[in-house]
Amino acid sequence: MMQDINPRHAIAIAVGVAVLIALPMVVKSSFAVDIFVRILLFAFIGTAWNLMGGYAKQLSLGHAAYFGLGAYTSTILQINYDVSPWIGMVAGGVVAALASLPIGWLCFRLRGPYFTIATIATAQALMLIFLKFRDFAWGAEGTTIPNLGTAPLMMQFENKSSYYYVVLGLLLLSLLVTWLIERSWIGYYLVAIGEDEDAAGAIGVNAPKMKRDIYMISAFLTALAGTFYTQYIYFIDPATAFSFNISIEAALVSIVGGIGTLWGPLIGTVLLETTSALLQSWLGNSIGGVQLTVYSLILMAVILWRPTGLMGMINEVRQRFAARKPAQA
Amino acid sequence: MLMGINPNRVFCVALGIALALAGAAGSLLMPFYSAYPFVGQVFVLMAFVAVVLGTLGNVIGALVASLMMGIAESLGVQYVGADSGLIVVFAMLLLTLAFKPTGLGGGRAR
Repeated sequence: MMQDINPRHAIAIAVGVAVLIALPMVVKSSFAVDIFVRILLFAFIGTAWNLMGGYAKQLSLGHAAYFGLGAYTSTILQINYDVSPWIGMVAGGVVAALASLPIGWLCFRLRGPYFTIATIATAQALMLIFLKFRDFAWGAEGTTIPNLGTAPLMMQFENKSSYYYVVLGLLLLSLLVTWLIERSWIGYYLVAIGEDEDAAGAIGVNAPKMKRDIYMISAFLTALAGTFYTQYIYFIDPATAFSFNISIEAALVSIVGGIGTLWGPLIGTVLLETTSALLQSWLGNSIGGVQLTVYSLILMAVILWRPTGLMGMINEVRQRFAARKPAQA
Repeated sequence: MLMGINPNRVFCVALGIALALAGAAGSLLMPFYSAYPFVGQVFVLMAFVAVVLGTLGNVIGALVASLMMGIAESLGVQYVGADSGLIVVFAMLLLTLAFKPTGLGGGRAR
């Protein structure tokens, strides 16, 4: 990934994308497509989180703030001003990116657990603010999105596979952004900040500016996910839009997959979400909550034995292969 | 290790004491809380806020911070609204960290 585009990687990626595009044409069950949509959505949020939490190692547990801001901006624009969610999505991203400036100004002066708790507090405070303003954003009861049937211009579709393509596009966008950042000087600066912020500052990395910029990009992408999710479930309320679980999930899928890697969040989400969705549908009736138990067991196993995540494991295997090959030849 | 301290042992003992105290606190709460599988979630966040607000590793700080948070939340419920009392707590936390980045407990940065 470090050099120019490797033709073998390009082919593998093209095949992967083709499989992902063909998937909803082959799999017709809307239950399965719903699981795919959720996997891609959380992989997207995880990838957005990974820019900040993975490369620059700023453990933020407040990304729900941007998810919620994106969701509320597009919904308010759609219901009160009749603006298409496609425009609202970008508007939500801009609102989130702007909101990340004061939040980042406050939080980035803090280190370690102080930073983490400050990000949690901002997300929770935003949720309470949206609970409070009833006339402005419907308060605690939330609101439903008017159902227009199939209206592609208003991001509403009757079949689930259209949503699948929307979220697939979002995920590819975030992977492209991550790939471009990883290859450029920005990626190296971010990794330097993640390794040791003071040392990076001493050799001329403008750490506060870098962190601010990457936080804005991360917030923008997370807000797009918020708009998509609201359009997908046709409902919004502060407890869903600013749910603490979203912040946790974004961090967990990246940690399990491997933080600071391009494919980590995607791989982590595929493992965690698929297992928990399948277990819930097979055993959810007989053994309630079994998927949560297995979810936490996977989490513990990865953190105990593979602290670098699944990507670390894959890279190790590949290096072992590469080391063995010349000996055989 | 070098000084004859076994860090794993110390971590284990510290974790054990902390969990025992949390368990005792849980049973003391039962007269006015209902028991359900997710009952602990509310307190995870609040305990984290209290410890950070009072500076990590500072016992008196955590005690003072918890008392402040309790009073702040009650005042918030009274004057801001029944469902958004916590906003005063979070505002207090963020304002404190803006001026004292390591919490109320003081200068020892970790």
